[in-house]
Amino acid sequence: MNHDIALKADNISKCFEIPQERRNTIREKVIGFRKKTIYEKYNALEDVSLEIKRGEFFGIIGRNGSGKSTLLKILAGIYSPDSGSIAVNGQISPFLELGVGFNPELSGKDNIFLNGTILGLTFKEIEKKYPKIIEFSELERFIHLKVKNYSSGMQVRLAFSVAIHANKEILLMDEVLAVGDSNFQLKCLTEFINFKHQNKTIVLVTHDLGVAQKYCDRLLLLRGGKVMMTGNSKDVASEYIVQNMSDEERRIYEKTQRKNEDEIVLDNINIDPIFIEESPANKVATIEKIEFLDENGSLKNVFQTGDDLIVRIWFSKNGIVDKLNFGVAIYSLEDYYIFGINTILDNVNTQKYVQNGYCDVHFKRINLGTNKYYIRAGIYEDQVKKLIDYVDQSNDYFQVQAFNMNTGIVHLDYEWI
Amino acid sequence: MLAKTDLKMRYQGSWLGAIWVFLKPFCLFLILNFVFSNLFFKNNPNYTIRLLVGLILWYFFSESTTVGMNSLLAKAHILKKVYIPLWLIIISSTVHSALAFFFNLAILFIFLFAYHVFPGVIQLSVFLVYIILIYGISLTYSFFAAPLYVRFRDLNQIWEVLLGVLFYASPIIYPISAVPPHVQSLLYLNPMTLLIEHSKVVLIDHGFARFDHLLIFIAIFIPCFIGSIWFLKKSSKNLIESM
Repeated sequence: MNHDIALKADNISKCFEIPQERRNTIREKVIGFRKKTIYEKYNALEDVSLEIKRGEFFGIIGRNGSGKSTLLKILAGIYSPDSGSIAVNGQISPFLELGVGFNPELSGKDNIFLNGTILGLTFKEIEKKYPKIIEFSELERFIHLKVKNYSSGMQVRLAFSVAIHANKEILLMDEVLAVGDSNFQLKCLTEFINFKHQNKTIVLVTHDLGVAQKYCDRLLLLRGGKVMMTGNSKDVASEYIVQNMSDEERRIYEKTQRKNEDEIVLDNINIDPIFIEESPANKVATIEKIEFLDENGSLKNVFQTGDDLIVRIWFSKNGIVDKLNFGVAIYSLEDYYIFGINTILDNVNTQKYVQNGYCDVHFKRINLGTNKYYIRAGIYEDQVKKLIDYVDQSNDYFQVQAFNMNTGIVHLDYEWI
Repeated sequence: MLAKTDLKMRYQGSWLGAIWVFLKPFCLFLILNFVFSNLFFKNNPNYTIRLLVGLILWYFFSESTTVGMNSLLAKAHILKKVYIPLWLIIISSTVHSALAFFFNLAILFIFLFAYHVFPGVIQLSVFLVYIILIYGISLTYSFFAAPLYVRFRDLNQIWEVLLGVLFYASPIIYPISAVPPHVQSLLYLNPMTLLIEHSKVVLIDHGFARFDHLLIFIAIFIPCFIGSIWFLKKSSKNLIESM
């Protein structure tokens, strides 16, 4: 094998057979031996191949249940693959999580030895590294206390300092960064970078795209047990976001489909309290529904920061109407009023809208942060005060996802100078 | 090393645990000794010491097989996160029983002194072979049973019953000569029968047990042991996910 390659996997497949009715005892086997056990097959991994170079910080991302942890367990040798082969060049850390086998009844010192042994260190090695481990964990004062009396942060610190002193050439880590405060996470990452300088290989499974993009050299995107993409972290991360968006799109679509079916039943009961005095029949115009479209005119619910958004308000007319005015307001899901416009203030000729039966507002480059937003829309007569119809449907929301990790409601155009 | 930490875990905070290791067999020893030496085997000299030899060997066997069988499932939480060879887990868990056995052995030697039947070097080294064989068959059983126990969770109950049967099918509370010859040959199907009986002969009578029997025993044992290693290796695939 090429010396530069630390870890190589070829066409790994793993299938879990989940029996619908688990027979765990001989008694059950004897009683039910004539019935055939029905297995539900679950393909955790299908034909996964990867190649990780020496000294690389490699990330594995994917949604829940996409097979990330299974892949890592196979790489660590905990599970054996159904087919395919793995080649490891160098010592691999056999563990995925911090503090495996910690015994709360033992002192911190004993747990260092216990955990260290499980991680494959010899007694002498641990003895040699012991002072360094304690120093890193900053737990000198508490080292003879029982671990059950430690705070969870202290436990994680202890576990991490043992883990990094395990000193293997290839490190596998499953969601380590999910625990611990931001200081600790930073400490972990700094240590990982140090590893990289020592030409050690790190494989990290994470949900945190920010971390993945910032630190990983390359990323692997898993989806339903298959490799969707391998490549530099930026490309894979954006692919992941796009996929998540289309998933979200489908979810919202299915939700609205379901809602429409429910509505047929509920319609008669559900009378909006605001318009109770005026039945729909007496209104000059009624808002039917609100749609979100992209600049090409196709329906969409999930947008990226900077995309164009068209809000379409469908309404129906009762009798002859010559002048109507429209108002649109964007609210975030936490009910922050983000932005509002109306045709009266903007002095828009609404004749076209009245003819078409719908009103379009084109928002160019929605510079909103990652969140869900909903629309409140109204139809007015000449003056804003004379409201004809109004909808406040927080179920008809659209979603915005930002690429980078900045925070806040809006996304301002910026540049570091 | 793993066994050492295992031991430390076991005794930390429960010093009574260490005492129990002695109390359990010795309570049984006292009761059995009282009942049988007074009621049935009054004219048998050295009955007490014979009973003790049998009991200590038996305890070593029953403890190590039970612990060995349970070991994989008991360490499931670690096995799911860290790669450790399965045989290492099984052996390290039986180290505790071995240690307890050596403590019991020390007590046995005190008894041997007190009864003025302390054996010579040759007898002791033959006895050592028996001990190794007992440990060997315990491991053989554990290698077979530990992976099976993951799939059949009532194996421990079955083994408990079987141990009870085997206890009475071993010449522990009675000398083998007390049963009719055709039953004797039946008893030799139990591997512990030969080892216990021979140990008694070597340690107390200072005689030499049938060497040919031992050879046959070893000839059967070795393929079984190799078979158990093969079985463990074969079943280790896909074992951890069904824990």
